[in-house]
Amino acid sequence: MTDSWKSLNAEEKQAVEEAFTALSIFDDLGNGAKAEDGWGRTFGFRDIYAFATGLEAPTNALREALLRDRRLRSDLDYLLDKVSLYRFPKVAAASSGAVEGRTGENYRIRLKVSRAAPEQTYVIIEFDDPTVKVPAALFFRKPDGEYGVHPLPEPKDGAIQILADSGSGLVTAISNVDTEVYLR
Amino acid sequence: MFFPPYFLDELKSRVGLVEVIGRRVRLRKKGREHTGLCPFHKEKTPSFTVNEDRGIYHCFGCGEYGGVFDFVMKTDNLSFSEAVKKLATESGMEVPVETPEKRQLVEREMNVSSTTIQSMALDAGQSSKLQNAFRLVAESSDGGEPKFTHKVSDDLKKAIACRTYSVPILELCHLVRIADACPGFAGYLEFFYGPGRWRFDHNWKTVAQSAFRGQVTMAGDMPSFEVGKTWVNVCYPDGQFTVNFGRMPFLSALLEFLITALGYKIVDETLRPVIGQNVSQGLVSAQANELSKSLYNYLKEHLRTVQLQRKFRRLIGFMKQEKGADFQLGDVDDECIMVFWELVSGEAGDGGDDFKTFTATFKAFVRLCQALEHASEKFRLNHPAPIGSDLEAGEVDLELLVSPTDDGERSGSSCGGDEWGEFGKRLDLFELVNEDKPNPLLALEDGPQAAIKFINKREFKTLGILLESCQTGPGSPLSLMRYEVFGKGQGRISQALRRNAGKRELHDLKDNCGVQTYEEKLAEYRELCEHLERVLLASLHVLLGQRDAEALSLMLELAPDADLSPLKTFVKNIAGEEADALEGKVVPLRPKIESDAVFEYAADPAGVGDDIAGLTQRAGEAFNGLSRKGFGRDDAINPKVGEGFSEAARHLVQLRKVVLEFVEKYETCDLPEGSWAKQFDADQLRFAQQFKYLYGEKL
Repeated sequence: MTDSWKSLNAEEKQAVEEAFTALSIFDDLGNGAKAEDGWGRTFGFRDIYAFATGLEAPTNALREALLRDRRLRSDLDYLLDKVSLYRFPKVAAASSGAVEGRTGENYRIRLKVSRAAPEQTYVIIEFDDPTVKVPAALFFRKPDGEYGVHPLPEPKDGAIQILADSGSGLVTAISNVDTEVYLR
Repeated sequence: MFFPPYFLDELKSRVGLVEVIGRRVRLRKKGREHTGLCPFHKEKTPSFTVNEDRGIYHCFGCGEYGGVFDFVMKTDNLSFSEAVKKLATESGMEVPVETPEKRQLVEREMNVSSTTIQSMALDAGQSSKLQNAFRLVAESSDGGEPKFTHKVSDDLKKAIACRTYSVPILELCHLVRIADACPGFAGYLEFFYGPGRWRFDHNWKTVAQSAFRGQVTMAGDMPSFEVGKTWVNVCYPDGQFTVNFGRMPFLSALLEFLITALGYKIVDETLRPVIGQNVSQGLVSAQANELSKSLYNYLKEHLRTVQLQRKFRRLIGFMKQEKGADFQLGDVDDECIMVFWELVSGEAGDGGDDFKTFTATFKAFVRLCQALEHASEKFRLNHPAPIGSDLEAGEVDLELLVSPTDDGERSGSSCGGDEWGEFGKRLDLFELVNEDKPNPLLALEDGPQAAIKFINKREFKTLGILLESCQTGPGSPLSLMRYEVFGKGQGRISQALRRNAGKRELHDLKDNCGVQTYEEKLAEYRELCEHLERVLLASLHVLLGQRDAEALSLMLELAPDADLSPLKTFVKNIAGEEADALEGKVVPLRPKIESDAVFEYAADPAGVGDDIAGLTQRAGEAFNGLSRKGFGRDDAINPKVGEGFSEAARHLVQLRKVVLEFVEKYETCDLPEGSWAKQFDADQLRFAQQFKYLYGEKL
């Protein structure tokens, strides 16, 4: 600058300030890479996309992130809606607060306690229409904000059948009236 | 009512805080401050202090604090603009006339600038969300590899900092339409987020071409997409739009940023209408506008504009105070930066927060210099002047009049209009952070050279700050040395404080606050220089082996004093008179020199002479001595890798030049203490004293 600050007119002084602000914002944005947010790694859409389109259960860190970040949860719900074949909404409250299955358009989920081993329950997913897309995973969102996924086997005779512990996350999630269930 | 920052700045400096408050409160001078009975609560013992230097008052009794405008607003029960007008009238200053453009600017800015100090604190928290959004994008990876280069991240930062995101968002909307129709992808999300989609050597061209290969998708009678060598054309009933492959990494980063910052739901709901049948270009533009508006509102809430304005005014105020109102860019020197930091870093409140660290202070001054330089260039362009390269004599550099392009490519609409006028307005700033010359450091990560590990993370960081501060900033290397040695020392103290280190450790860290001596730091720069030379030699080895014409330029660069006469004679024989140009050690006769015979000759020590033979031998040794990615035996004969070496050569030459110049400056620098060793000792004492003041051992 060969001109002095004093010789700059109002517009030029403003240009200097705008330039300084832009350059400083540029620096500030880069500082985020060093910022410590107190939670360690920050989770973003990429992580929930990987979860919603994959078959692996969320890591503990992602689970915690989902519990504390409302926006992340709402994005995941919206994303699950988009990528799922069908979403079973919460069901009307039964007196016990538990249900023995879910019924939706083209898809039905039934819980059936094993006769041979009462501590185990069959999760049966049935299709009304044999031409509908076969789901590869079952997702659920519990009322406390916890998410889970269970990979599904190939269907046999028009139904998918899984044998799980009656107290398992999968069975309790499906039976809980306040849990939302997605087939993807 | 809009008041330009320079006007408020001038008004504050004219009215004087002590004078204004002194009309209502009887003040007594006590050291650097004035004290009196607080006008905001009843008291018998004065707890109200006024600090003229910092431009603030504070009552320790009731907690009231603020600047001159806050004081007049509170005591006279006036609005901000009324208080400004009152003070302007009292001091005989004319209030600037409000124009519609300025009003628009105010509506945008004043929401923020009228916030209180408390809300600024909140602002800082909000801003960290924005920073985190960037962090997530910058750290995106696919298959363990970074998804975006530094250049892409920087381009994204520039677009946000300069608010030049409208056109990229429009491009993005068209790209989303392309991505959603892209064969082999289940919708646009998979195109951008699907695993493995980026494992094509980070080359979007490959991704898009493989997806669209031979495809011309039809919609009714009209082809929806046309694919060229470097672009995809989206056709609409009312026009067409071209998206270049080269823009795709940036646009992808932009999408990730938008989703992270605004939320997937908002972004998806805005983008959905551009996907599918019967979409017009007008609709895509409208949706792009919507997305731009959402981002605008988000940034209004999250950018720390007020804090940055405050920082700027503080720097200008200091420069005016220290060097006079007619200070110039050259007045920003090492001592000025040091004195400012010593004065401001210990302040309670804004100044201390903004400039607590020496690194932040140094960077702020570098940015101030760049901003002043920018205004100066703008000033020259606004005022007719002769064209020439002697800027000192007031001539205008013709290059500054040339608009920048994106590597010769610019996506765009064939039925464009003035709807993106804002882009033009912001272009100046875009040029500013975009810089006239490409950043050689970032250029190494772009294109085929990205596959070669020329420099590591640490070297990248060192070169980054060196490039920034050497291009514009205080002339001598002393401030940069202080930044590297004591700025990092301050970081070490902060870390120790965070982990509750013991008193003794903290005391030692403050006393020995330099992380290394200046000489040791210089040795690092020299080492970096040697590394760059090794890399250049290794590049020469590859380029010679692959018969790349760039090898000869590099040869001249690495051995400027070499005896080239044997090579010259040889070239003359095969190239005729054109080879005379080699006399001046320039290589404009590339087509002739590219002849294989030249390369064979250059590799033959018996014919080419000792200088060139020695150089080619050292080149081979350098290549074999490097064990980084891209320097393997197979790489040396891989044409794609060779292309990377060829592209990178001039950038590496430039980087080496910057380090060499810095080292030379260091060696010839006039220091206040006479020598670097004495300067280090003196600075160590000075920094230690300030650190003790800042971190608890007040002297």
